[in-house]
Amino acid sequence: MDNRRRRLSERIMLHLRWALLATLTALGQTYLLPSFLRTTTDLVLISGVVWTLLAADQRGAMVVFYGGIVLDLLAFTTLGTHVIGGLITVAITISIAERLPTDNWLLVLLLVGTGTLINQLAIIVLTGGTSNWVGWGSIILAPAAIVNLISALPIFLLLYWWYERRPELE
Amino acid sequence: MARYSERHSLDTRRPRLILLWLALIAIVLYGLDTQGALDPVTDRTAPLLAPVTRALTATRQGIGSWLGGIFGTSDLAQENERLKAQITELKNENLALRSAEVENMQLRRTAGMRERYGWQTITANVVGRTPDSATRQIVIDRGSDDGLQPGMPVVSHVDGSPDALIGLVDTVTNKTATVLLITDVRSVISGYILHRDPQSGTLLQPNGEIEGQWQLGSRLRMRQIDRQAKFAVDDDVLTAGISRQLGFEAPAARIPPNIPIGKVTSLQPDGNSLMAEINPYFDPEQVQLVWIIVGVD
Repeated sequence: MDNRRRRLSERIMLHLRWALLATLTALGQTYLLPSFLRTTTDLVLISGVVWTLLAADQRGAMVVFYGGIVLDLLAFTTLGTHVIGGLITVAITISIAERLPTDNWLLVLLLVGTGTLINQLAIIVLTGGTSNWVGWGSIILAPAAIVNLISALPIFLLLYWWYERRPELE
Repeated sequence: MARYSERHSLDTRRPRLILLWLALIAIVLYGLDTQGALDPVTDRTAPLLAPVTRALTATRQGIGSWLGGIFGTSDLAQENERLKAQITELKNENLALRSAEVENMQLRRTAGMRERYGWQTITANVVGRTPDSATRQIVIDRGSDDGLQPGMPVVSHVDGSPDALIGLVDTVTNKTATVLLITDVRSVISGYILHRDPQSGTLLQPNGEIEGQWQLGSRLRMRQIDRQAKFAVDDDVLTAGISRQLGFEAPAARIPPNIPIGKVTSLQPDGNSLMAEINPYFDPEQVQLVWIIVGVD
């Protein structure tokens, strides 16, 4: 019984710790990152992809879930709008990473590019859709993809450095 | 690094299971929030987050000023700022004069007189913005304690533009408020195009509904314009204040007429009417200081 309680409290602490980290990531993305091409780097999504590639556990899913909820609160969107696209991206990342070597930086770029497309699609669909997909592609998707692709490798290297020092899930 | 499954001997079903659980929770949250069941929770988060977001925004602006201090204090940069301020004044004056001419025609008809631009305003700092393209809103550091109410128009200017409408107060707490930017798809306001007929020299003002288009891949679009209306690219667009004139009780009735919005960039047929693409004078998300129109003299 004590063992089960301890395991439960450890799990709760784990989620709280990653929820805090994801909250800080979302706040940093929203309030500290400079705008480029009228958008900012999607730190939450890229962190989710990179953690999934590096650690092969639930870290990526927790970052996109808790980070997405905070983004929804900051963006005044319906809760879940910023989460669903991120979780689909993490699921794809797990599937691809099981089959391919993850030490290829092109894979990071490919997954971040795909994730940006999925995430932006999920957001536009869940917030009402559009009748002007060409305009959406040029004004929303293309700048978001460019900014995320530019940021992907530096973020990957930073988290890789962190992961090498503290690989355990804690 | 090796392959995901080789690198980690742990069972990959666990992350998949957690992923599934989190996805289910996200879908349930989405469903509940769509029904409004989570409003009491989400409404309380803005005041809770306000001190943090204010501090982070101040940090970002501090860094920006510091960098500006390093790179932007030359005489040339200061002269540039002064000239931009002068251009703002001149454009305000020009628009006020032209819109006054239009209103004079209306006033003569209604035998009334109202002072042009008699806005009662309070200033506010932008302390928050949305993280991506999903919504176009900003958070300001004034709330119901300062007399703000939903529907109040918010104006600002950037780099030599006239004072222009950037959005309407959307939600209000004691100390903060969110402003729904005019470029957001949820924003619909009545407006008119200020056009001078080159042949007769008379000022015309075709009306229409101005809809935000950002999430749909554009800026602003004016619809329901009379098909016979005469106007051209580069004409100025201002608020019509129709709800206010009709005495409606709706929040939109707080928008006075003749607040500049932007310029026509193209026009095309739209069913039985005309449609105009409008570019705001500046990106409303760029502003750091705003004026809320709380009343009109």
